[in-house]
Amino acid sequence: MSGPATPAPGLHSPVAPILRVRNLRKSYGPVRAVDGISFAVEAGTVFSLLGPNGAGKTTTVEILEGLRVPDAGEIELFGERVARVGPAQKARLGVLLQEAAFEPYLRVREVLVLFAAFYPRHRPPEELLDRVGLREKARALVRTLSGGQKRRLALAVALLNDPELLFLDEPTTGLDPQARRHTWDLLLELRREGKTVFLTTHYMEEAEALSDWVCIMDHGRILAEGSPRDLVGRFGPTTFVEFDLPPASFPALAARFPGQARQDGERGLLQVQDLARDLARLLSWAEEEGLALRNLLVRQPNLEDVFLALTGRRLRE
Amino acid sequence: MRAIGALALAFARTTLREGNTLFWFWLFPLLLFGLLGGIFGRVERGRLDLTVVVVNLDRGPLGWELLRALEEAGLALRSLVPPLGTSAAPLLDEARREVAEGRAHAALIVPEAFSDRLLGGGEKESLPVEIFYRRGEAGSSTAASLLAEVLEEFGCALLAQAGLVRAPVGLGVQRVGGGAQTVGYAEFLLPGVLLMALFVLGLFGVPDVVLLARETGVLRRYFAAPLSGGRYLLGVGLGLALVAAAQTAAVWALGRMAFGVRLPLGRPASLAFLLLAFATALALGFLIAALARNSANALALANLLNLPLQFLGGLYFPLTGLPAALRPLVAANPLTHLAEGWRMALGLGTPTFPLWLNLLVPLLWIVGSGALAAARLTFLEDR
Repeated sequence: MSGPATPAPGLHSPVAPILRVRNLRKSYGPVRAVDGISFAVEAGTVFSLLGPNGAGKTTTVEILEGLRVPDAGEIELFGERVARVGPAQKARLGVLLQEAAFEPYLRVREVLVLFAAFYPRHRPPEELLDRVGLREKARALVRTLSGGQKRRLALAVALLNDPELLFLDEPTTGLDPQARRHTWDLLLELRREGKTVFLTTHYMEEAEALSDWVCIMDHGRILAEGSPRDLVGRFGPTTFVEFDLPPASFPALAARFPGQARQDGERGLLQVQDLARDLARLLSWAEEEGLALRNLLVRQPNLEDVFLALTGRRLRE
Repeated sequence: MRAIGALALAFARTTLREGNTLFWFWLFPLLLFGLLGGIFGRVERGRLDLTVVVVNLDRGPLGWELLRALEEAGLALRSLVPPLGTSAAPLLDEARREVAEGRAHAALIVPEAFSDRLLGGGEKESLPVEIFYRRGEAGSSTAASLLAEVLEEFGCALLAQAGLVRAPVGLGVQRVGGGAQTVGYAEFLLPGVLLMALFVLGLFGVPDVVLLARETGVLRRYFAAPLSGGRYLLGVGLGLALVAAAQTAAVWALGRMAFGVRLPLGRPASLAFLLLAFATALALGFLIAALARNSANALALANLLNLPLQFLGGLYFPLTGLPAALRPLVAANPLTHLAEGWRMALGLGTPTFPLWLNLLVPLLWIVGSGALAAARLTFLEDR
């Protein structure tokens, strides 16, 4: 799985992407939060930066939003090379920060009216309230909103200036499954409208479901990039078998399936090429060991497996 | 400009909705003024403690109507009536002496043929109704202001509407002395309370709004939009100015209604000191925001600065009784100079510092605090 990353579309393409970054660096004291990363984002696509907490995703996105100044590197945004992202670029960007923070004693509609005053042009606040499903909360104080409602308000603010490029930093963290689904639908709708979306997430299923292009990031570096299908396809014709496994039984499993078995907490995991043959061997081994193999699951590889293969860790560790 | 206005409005709104700011920025100045004014000041019930000597040389009805209007305004009138066939000159001299020697707050001279000339319309030039008062004495200034106000109402509202007046009522105001300082406590207190309110707004309001917004990520979101730090600060400043203007109007109204205080806050010199005080409070607030690590730390710093500034600034009581050791602190305190300068501009009290020093010390604080704050204030927390 290791090896040189596939070049991003546009990085060496003759057509200028909406965003291109080369050798971007940012350190906090001795910590290299972003360590020389390069990538490009094509207009009208969903680009995901996938990595665990602390990988450097938020620092990267905050540099691109103009909230931080990089130590080094090149940024080309909307076809223009900039030392740092300034007001002219910000007017064309939509930003959803990780924390949905607004003045707690302002009303929902007042927040939108306030932010509308920051932009040279904007969509009508009512239209955005409808779009994110907050119309009935227009007069509610921000402090009375639930976490999910605040995220929706933040999304409305991000869409207020009808942005060409939308940065969404962990947009579904802390949302319940229904709200997450709603956000995904909205993102897919934005992509259909031709918007470019730059997503950072540590949810592999989110990156997989929404993205045209994924960069996997860890410790400030990009480890791999490509379309979700390409990244997962690097495993070849592999299938994973998962089941409940007491940790004490793992050595026996590893001895029976050398190089194929992994322990993941209370779960055992087998990477198999010939499903019928290896599944039969597994069941036979379980019978010998007197194990029930509860919650057995057969699945295709996903981005989580890609990350695990690249780093030896899970995304949410 | 749109962003600055929107930020200012948002700030003013939040101060009215949040319990702490509602109390400290809006209610506390009124409560303090009401409390101290009620305990130490004079509380009048429908009558002002202002004596006006009246020389009514008019033989017609309007002179008496005017006196009645003055009495209704709450002034205590003492009339000097000329005996028939005698000259009015000695009475005018006596009225001047009454005011100059402090036995009356002001004197009003109603001219001969006041009624005839107003009603008859023979001459079109104005009729000089004369007022004598002592400059530099709050009661006398107040009485003169009140007389002028009643005259204006009398001339314009009552008679002009009825179509009776043929000539305008003119006004001649003369100073006949000054120096005797018998300022009422409510008059003395009102500028002090307003300064206190401004400084609470600046010292506590600025760090509170800036640092809390920084800590909670509100500023991060603002600056992800095309909003510069300068426009944000102007927005906060304008928001504070809106609150300060409303505070000033509320305290002034309370002073006028509850204590009969009629200070000429709108005088250019008074407005200049009001603006200087606002700028000083703002600069100190930004300095605290720049020096404090977080909002809790800022609260402690603001308290540390606020209490000595207020109590050594002569806001609530005169500083004459303070120990000599504290005098350098008093002299370096911007509030001392703002309070004294403003009171002088309002015609209250006698100065202990020259005017230029009362302007210079606050200006130095503004420049020093502003420069330090500009160098140190950060909007985004480093991670």
